[in-house]
Amino acid sequence: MTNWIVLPTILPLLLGSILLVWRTPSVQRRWASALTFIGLIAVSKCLLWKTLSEKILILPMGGWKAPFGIFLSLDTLGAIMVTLALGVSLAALVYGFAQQSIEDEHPMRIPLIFFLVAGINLSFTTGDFFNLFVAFEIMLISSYSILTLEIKEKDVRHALPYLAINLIGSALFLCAGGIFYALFGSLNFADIAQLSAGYANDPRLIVASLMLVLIFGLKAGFFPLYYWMPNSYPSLPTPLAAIFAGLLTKVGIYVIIRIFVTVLPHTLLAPHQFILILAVPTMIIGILSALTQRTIRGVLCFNLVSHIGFMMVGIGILTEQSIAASIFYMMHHVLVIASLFLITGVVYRISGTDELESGGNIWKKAPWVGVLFLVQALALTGIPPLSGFWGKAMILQSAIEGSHWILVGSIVIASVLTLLSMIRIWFAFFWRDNPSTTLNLEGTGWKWMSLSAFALVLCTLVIGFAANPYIRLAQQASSSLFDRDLTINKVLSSPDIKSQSVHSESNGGHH
Amino acid sequence: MTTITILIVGVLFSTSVYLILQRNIIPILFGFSLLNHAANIFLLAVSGDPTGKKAPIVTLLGESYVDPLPQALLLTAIVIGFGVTAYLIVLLYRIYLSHSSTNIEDIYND
Amino acid sequence: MIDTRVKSPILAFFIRYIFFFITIFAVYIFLKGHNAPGGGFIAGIIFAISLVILNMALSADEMKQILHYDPLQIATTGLFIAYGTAIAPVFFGYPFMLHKMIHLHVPLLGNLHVGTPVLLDFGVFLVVVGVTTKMTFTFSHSSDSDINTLAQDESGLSNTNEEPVVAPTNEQATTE
Repeated sequence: MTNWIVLPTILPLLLGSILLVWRTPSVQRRWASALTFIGLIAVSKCLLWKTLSEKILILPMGGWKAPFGIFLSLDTLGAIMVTLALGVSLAALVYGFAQQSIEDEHPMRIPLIFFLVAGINLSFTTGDFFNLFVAFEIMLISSYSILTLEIKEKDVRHALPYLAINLIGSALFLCAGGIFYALFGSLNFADIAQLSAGYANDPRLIVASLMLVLIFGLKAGFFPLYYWMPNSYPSLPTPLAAIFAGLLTKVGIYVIIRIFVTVLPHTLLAPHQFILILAVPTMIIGILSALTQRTIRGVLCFNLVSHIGFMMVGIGILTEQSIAASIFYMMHHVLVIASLFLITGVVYRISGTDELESGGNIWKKAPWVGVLFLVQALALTGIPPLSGFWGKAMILQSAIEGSHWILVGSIVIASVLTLLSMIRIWFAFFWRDNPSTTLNLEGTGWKWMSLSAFALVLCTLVIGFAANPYIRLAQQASSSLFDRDLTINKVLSSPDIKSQSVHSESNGGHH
Repeated sequence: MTTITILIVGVLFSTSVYLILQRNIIPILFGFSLLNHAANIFLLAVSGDPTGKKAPIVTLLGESYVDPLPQALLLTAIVIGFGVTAYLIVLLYRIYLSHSSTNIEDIYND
Repeated sequence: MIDTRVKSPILAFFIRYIFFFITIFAVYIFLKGHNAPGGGFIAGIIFAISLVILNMALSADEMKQILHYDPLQIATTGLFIAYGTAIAPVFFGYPFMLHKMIHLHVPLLGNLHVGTPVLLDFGVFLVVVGVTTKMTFTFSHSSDSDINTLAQDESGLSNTNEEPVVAPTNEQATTE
């Protein structure tokens, strides 16, 4: 039993509430929030280290025994995701500090980022189905507020489709939770894992699991459900778009991995086949749409959709190697896409425009920004020895081993087309000489902004060049996901702390 | 009793879908409100039966109780829905203020 | 009660009794929440309803005097009470959010079972009151007579570059 698991959730909530009353933007406020994130990253790295030796950490909230109580459980995958979430949020926060002066800063931006991160961390560490719903709602309501906080007047109408589709997803989440409770009598992940072993052919469970694919696919951006993303993400300010693109979609992928690998029986084939069927159009149509976009943000959003398809391939095949491939790809993709959004923010600041037709000259005037973009674009495409290559190689390997030739073909085609879309941006903004655009290189703001993007690029380079420890980390995360007996035993045999503490006080007295 | 409840849930879901697809933005608001209600009643109808559940309640012999867990889930869901509906109202009002029209076709066709 | 520019004299007269009864009902629902339907959420909504009805009879400045604190400050106070109740067991070595129940035998009243869930519920109560009040007051104070008070309250929560959104006049607005 360790109480540190709840710290990545409760500390952002606490600090966000403090910043709600400490409203006037100031330097101390910024330092307080940055230091909180740095402290939390240190805590999550210690938790990650601990999960490597102890495999899974459990916290029974309120001391209730399983299956009555709500459990927080942290295994290697959860610890990886929490660390990534905190790292990306810190980079985006620092970028936001460099982007806006203190007078221009919106007083509600930092508290809402804290609430968003609290919701994300709770959804990564929870071990109970309804607690997952509450974590999703915290995350979603903060994201609604962040979306419309600093929005331009012409973009307000794009918030409604985002809100509408997430409301429908939440309503369906409730229904799926009800079906799970009716079938199994409990909402604890470990309890459902134990009880659902014989239910693989039950049509009720198949319906509930397909509903879950729908709900989390809505969040992640699966094929027919991603149309809200390219309309709403470009209207966000850059650091918030980086957090949304990097983290919110990955929460959906994480929950799908958690539920379909650890909780539901593996012989339940219908959702996995469904995910595999949806992966092909996600990859292909996503990248084809990226080739037609006229703004950098649009190209990146559709690239994001297409790369979700790669992770779907790994989940659909459902072997230990393929889930490890998806986990490694998720690690690489969070960092790459967040840093790409931050770099395009720097480009927007320098060029004053987002459109591909009116950019240019950046390689001549500000070559370091060009180097950052080049490295990340090659990493996204999958050029060795950068991190994307290892991820794509692992996914291709598991697809070939399963003889899914259509998937192999679409992975290769999508990768080539990703390279094409990145070349478009490179040529339009960096390489060509455009006499009709002038660059605004004054001030040091854009240098600090590119520094925070550089921090994320550095992490990507580390994962790429020293890939072996991270591949082993992903494989260890995957193997502890498949080891359900350990989870079940640890959760269901936790001691009854509540009765111990109640019996320790005699009748009529109190501590 | 359960049959009637499930029929009510069906009516609520279909009404909410019909309202969400309307042209004026006020029925859209009511549609989402009804959608939340439908999901809540579905949750209660599907899992309200206390036989076989393991709620930690001490009962005397012969007494019957209602399973409290779905009701607790329902309470949380209602409060969350209340917060999101409040946000939806303000967002729709803001969209109305910036486009001076409550017609969806005027707002989303440009 | 302060009495200036009242829109409806009947409401202004009855509001004291209505407010009193609804508040007593809210406290009753709050206290029976541990063992019967009730609790912090619904008690907060009922108390907020009484404040909203009071708001219908009085102007924004009078509501500010009666309420004495900014609604968001009430909400964050409730949040901190809830956090404190949830985090306190950690410092004694117990898991997060463990609750202590105290069983007392009071001579006249009988057996009393109270504990820290009441504190957590009180935090939830304050949060719901603060949030509901803030939401309703923001809308109801946007009429012309109270809009200056509203602008003053909102200036701490918005960017210095933002401008207030203006409602369209009757010629511009089209509703179908």
